[in-house]
Amino acid sequence: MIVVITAIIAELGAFLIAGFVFYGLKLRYGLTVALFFLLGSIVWTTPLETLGISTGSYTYSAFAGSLYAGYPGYFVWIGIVPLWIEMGWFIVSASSFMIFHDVLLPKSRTVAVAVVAGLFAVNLDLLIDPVASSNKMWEWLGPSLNIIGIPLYNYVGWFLMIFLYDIIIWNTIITFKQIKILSAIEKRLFSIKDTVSSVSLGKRATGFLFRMLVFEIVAIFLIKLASMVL
Amino acid sequence: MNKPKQVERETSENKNTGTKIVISGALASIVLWLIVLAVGNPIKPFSSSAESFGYAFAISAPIIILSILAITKMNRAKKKLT
Repeated sequence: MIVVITAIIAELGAFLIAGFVFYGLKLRYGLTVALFFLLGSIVWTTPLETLGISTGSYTYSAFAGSLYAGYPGYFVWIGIVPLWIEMGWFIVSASSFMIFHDVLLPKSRTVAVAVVAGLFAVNLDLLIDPVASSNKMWEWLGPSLNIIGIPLYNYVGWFLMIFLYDIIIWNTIITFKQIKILSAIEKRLFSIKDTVSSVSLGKRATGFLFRMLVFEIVAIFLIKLASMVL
Repeated sequence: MNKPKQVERETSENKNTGTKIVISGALASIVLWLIVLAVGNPIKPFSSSAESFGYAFAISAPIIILSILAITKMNRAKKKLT
């Protein structure tokens, strides 16, 4: 029973902190950017989480039926992923983004800042994952190289997902810049040229979704590769 | 102080507050997971809560330091302006 209480604390706590972080983003950048950041986090992480669960890497169902009959393990879900997991990603991506882009490294190159943000996220997950899996909030299935019971490829995943999301957010939502490796396709598809001072909401949203789709495929490929190697 | 400057200053203060709230999200996350650790099981493979907390604090140190550094830097910048 005590373990179920920790799951409830984590779920409610994540929603509460995500609410504060959303409010902070709204104060700093306005409602549109805050919404892009929040909804983007959900769109960005749900496919990867769904894939991880579907392929049997881990499960979120350890508490199913433990609180009452039909209790799915957590209160709010998006498909087979508990929503508070996406809120966790949102909190980590937003706070790492702000610390480095806004305050500590505002004049550094975007890629360099994204690398540091990715490492910051890995550092935070070195706390979160061991505590969560020791309390069965999620369970890693299958053998792999690990640190304190957590597969190494999980940290590769954290780094890549925060690193790439940081780059997407900076180049699409905060500013609207060309991403060099995508420039040829984007010029044809959306007429996106170099830096644009003002861009329509529709074009920004389309660019955001397109970039997330492309980078998501890259991230999933690399994480899968890491899980096979490690 | 004339009105446009006052509005500008209030907007800037709101932005600063926003940044601090988001940065505090990382610290709040650490607190949340420490609460979970306090209520729940120790981290495997550690045998005791003391060892688990030792690990948790040690691993969280860089995040705590960077977050506090960022907030301190913002406060200093604000003092310079005023």
